[in-house]
Amino acid sequence: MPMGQGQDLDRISTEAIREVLTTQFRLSVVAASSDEVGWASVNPHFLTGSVSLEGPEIRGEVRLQFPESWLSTLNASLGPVSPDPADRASEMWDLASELCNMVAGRIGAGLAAAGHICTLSTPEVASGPQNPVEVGPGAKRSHTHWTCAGATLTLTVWIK
Amino acid sequence: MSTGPRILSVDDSKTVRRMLVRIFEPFHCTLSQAANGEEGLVVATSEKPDLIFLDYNMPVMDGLTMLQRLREDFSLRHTPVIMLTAEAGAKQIAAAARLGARDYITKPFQEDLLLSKAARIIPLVLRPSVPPSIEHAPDTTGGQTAPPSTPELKAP
Repeated sequence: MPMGQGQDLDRISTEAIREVLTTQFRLSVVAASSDEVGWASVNPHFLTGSVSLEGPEIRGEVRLQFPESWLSTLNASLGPVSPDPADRASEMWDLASELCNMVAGRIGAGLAAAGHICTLSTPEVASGPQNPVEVGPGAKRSHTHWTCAGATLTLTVWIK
Repeated sequence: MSTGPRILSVDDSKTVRRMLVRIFEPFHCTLSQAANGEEGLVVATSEKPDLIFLDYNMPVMDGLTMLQRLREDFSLRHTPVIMLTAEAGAKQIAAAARLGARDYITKPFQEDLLLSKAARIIPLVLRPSVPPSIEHAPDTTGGQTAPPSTPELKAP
């Protein structure tokens, strides 16, 4: 089944983030309003996870941005947290990494179902504002914002 | 000290290892952890786990290589392994099956599914709700013991 236009990538991305947050963390997630998105874009306290997609016919990237406060709350829900601030920060980065890994995995599965086989890279995490994703001609891009437990998450996917 | 089944979680994500500790904590299980395949082999050799949950993509040594090494080790070759990974490709599933992985669970995973697949391999018995220091405590598990079996590898 050939991949259609950007709406297909939006659909795959939407299913991926919903599945990860509801199945693994029992959290509900809804599309964010423009007001929430405006707040998120100026909030410097966030982490961004990224995973590269690489296949015989496609390459691309999944980026997922989270507020640190949201990650901190979710981290505490997973069990006892370390009393050491450095360890707690490390756990938060690891959580951002794994969340992005899971979402990228579901996106990879969705792309495979559309005929685009790809493998995932090891996730990377960075703090603060990231360079915008710039894609060249022929690339497909999905950029969506989500509200989950009072925070705004941003998911960006591109493939070409 | 628990004398129940020994589980080894091999995953570079501490988040996933913490999830498994939380999931299996209510049962009589001892859970060990390793952050990559190389560490996993060391822990598996020393602790002889009854079940290994194994990630696919990890630094230092990936899950498939660790699985291959397990199958080459006389003392560990029959250790049941369940792959627990974000990789959902048919090629990866087939490769794990060829190396004798018992099952393949993709992340995100439902906790009930994880427990049911584990219960096909190891007995899972709920811990009594009374303090373990009390001798002759009544059995509050309600006989919730799952018998081991030998499931075939299935696609997620």
